Amino acid sequence: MMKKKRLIITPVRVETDFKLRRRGPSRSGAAAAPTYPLLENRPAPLQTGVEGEYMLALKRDLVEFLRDSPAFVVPAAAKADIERYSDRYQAALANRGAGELHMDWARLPQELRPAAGKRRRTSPSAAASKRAKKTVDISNRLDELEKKEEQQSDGEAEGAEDEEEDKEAEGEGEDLEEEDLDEEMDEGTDYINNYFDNGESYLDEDDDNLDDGPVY
Amino acid sequence: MSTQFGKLCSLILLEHFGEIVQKVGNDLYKCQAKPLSLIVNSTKLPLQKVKQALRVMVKYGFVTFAPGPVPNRAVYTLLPEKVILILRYPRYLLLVKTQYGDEAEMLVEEILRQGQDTASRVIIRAVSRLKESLKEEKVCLVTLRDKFATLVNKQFLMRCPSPGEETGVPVLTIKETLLYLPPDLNLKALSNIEEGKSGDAGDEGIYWRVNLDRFHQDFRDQIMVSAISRRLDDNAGELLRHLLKQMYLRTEAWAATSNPIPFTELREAVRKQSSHPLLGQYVDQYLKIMEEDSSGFISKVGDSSGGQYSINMKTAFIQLTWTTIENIVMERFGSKAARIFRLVRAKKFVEQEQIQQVAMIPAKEAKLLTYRLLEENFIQMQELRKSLSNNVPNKTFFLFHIDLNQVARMVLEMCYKALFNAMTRREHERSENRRMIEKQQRIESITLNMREQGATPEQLAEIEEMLTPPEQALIDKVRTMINRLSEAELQLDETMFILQLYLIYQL
Amino acid sequence: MTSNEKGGSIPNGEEASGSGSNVEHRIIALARSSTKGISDKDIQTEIPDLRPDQRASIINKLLAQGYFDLFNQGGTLLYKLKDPSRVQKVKGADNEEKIVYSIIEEAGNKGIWIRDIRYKSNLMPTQLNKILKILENKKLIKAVKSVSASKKKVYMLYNLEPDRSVTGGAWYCDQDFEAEFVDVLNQQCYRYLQQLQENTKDCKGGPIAARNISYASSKDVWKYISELGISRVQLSVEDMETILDTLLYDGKVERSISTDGTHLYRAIESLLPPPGIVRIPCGVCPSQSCHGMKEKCHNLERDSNLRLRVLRSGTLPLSYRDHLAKGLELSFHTGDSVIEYCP
Repeated sequence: MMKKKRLIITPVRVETDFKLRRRGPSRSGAAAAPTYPLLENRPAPLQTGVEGEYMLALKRDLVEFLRDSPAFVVPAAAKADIERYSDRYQAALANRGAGELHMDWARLPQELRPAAGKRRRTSPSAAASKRAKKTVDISNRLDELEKKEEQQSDGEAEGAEDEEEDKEAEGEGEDLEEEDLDEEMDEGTDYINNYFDNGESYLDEDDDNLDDGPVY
Repeated sequence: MSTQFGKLCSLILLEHFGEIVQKVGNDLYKCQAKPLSLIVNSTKLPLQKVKQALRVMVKYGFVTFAPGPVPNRAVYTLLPEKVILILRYPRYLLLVKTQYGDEAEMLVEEILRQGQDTASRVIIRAVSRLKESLKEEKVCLVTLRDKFATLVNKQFLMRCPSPGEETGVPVLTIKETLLYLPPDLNLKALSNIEEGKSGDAGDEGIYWRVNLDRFHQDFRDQIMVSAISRRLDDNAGELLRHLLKQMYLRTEAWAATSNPIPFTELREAVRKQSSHPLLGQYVDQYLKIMEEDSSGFISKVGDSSGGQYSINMKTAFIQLTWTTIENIVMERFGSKAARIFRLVRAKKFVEQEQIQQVAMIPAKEAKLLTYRLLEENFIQMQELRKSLSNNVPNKTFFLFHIDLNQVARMVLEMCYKALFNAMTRREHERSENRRMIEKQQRIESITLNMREQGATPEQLAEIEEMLTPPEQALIDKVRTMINRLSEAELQLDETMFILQLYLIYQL
Repeated sequence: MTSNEKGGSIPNGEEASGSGSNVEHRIIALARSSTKGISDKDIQTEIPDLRPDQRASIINKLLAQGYFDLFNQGGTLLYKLKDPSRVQKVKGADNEEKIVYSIIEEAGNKGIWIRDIRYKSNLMPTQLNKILKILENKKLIKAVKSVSASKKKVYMLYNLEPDRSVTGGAWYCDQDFEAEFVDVLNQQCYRYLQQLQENTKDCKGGPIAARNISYASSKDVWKYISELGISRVQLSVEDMETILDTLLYDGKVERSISTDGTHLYRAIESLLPPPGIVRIPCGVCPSQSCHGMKEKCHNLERDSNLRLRVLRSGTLPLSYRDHLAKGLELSFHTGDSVIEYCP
């Protein structure tokens, strides 16, 4: 029963997908495991095919659509900070916030409505109004300019980005009259100064220097 | 909810809705429900911006509100699981495209892009996009209206609840009978609007959203059908499809087990199809095979009407979750570790000694692998003190076992983390190479324009040379990487879907 | 899936010895009291709460350890305590040798470790070594290397065949586990079952007939492997089942039990392909400490074995999506999923 050679032939090379895993001396203790270790096993290949590529296109389309839509809420102005902060957004910021969020304001709490009472209902059909916009474009444009002037004279954010923003700001006056709470909050927020200071980058705190990456 | 989940949610909000929405989302993530004033306080954002962000999130269904303690003031609650679903939007669209065609896809896409909207607006926008892409002058409004109705009837689209009487914080309600009632559209007016004239399509105030659960139901069925097709064959897959159809006739879609499906009716349904002739011939045999398969998707529950069968949804997703995790162990630790993992699964509780014996792996290697699985929480260990007879000193046994629930949650966390990593890295690459990408885009658009204007190949080549070969190489590398990461994100979601569904069925 | 009875035999034996050492003594005492031997019935009357399976395992053990001789008397099996005269073999030996011999004898074919002998005999190590040498030279005992711990020798009576737990059975050469041998057998068995699975494609007799073709009993596999001639060791059908069970735990085969109780095996396909999570490096990376990618994880950077066509980044022309969509249709109709985009 002893000393016998078990194997006569080896028809196939044994697939040893297993290598005895020595994980380096540091592994034994709770001591630092490397943050980016060399992988012992490679990931399985991604599935390829037209379906995946099509979904990829859809995914990108969605992001691009939203980024150019009023749903993409951008901080007003703060131009000085843009250089530092928004490598990643600069392009997007350029023509951001065009148009207004289509919404039936009655579905929102009153406090969220752009200008309480005034704009609760959009015109019979927003699509229609969109079309109609062309014809009244000039008068709108004038309105816009007017409001811009108004706002600038108020010394509010320079270069407010869009019509809606202006209207809101205008509407805000009403809100303040009605509701002290809002007033308090607005006063308590010196946002131009504070805004970019908060540490809540979407990455971890230590990710700040991401933006100081190589410059071409 | 985990921090990893929160981080992912935050990143998704940033990518799709910008940093203001992200910050408000982060703030809401930390608490159950919060009034506007407190959000403004803790985010230090201007009131207007917080309002804007809340409007967006309410519109897209990521935030709900309810009357708060202060009259006419609402409290807001974030639904992070809805936010994460944005990653699945492409998959919803692919499904609707393949099952209901391009027009249906366009309609669903238009609603997803807006969060919610009226039927008339959605149709008008879809028309103009279809015109653009098909380069056709006329797109049939009736077709789109009918497609819309089909999607509603199939419950892919549903009405949003509407506000009752005017209050500071509206209460949104909807009668169940209205939920899937297609809109009654004035076609004439719709066509007027489409032509740029004014009109009232008659559906103002009736908003629609996408019923994501309905899509999930189809994904679930697809996964089960393709699993059975892999294990048995296409005929068996087709049979399961018929079984599922039969299930919906008599069972609520998300029940853990379907009500019994009589063989006679199933056979009738299968006979009507012609795509799988062999299936028609051998329905009974395929049923028997499927029933006897270890996957346990269906079981025979009675003998009347030639046999009664039921589909075990919950069991199916337990099996699929096991398979998913076994496959992960296989890729992550190698085939020997996967053998150990399955062995522990089969034996329920097992000692180290027995593992190496049954798995036929050298003791040292088996020990190492077992402890790695333990260390990374794929298996669990239980200590057992055993004193059987008085002359044997107390002995401690270590038994290995698997807590599937716990492992599934852990893997789900892994998925969240991997997604976060992939998205972060993708955006990082994009921003780091922004200038290069922009340059290349400019060149591309110039090339495109010039080609349209009939430029000579020499001219075109000249423009293309503005990008040096090293630049071209770099840009190709970056793009490939960005695409690969995006693709990985989409594929990761498949794993998440199975695990999430498993956990839902466990509730 | 049922648990593997055979695989469980070793631990079961151990269990019985743990809980049953008292019982063993009682059975031996009972046998000592009867010169013509005892039957199962006698044991049952003496110890009524002993289950038949427990009894069988204890009797087997005592038989293996050489306590009993087995007689068949009129259809009834009788266990008779062996004549203690065997101890006579040690005749002429001194007391210490007798003690050591009986300790080793008691250990049966599982053998006993030198330290345990020392512990039980209270002899000095040098003295014990000397005695063991003497007994070995007299061919009364032998030393066998045990697989359960390398470099560990156990002693047993010379004429005993070592227990599987000592030799490890067919899978050990000396005390070395022959992992390569096991791997090769594992692959060959799988290949065989896969071949059967392949054959079902030509089966015209319906799905059940096809499935039945794909089944092989452990004996079929054993025959196939024996005929292949890759093993010079005589393997048993049980050995084959041990190998087939590794395939079971590899998730590559399914086991079922036929009506006559034999095990049937067939190759199966996993329900799912490798999940998405392991198609990204993070899914196979043990790192706990990475957060995002600021420090550039090299694993995410490296090209995997994937060729993804480069898509336009930036604004995606609608026409491109349409182009892809056409490919999508194409792939649905023809199964051909490759299209190239040339702007």
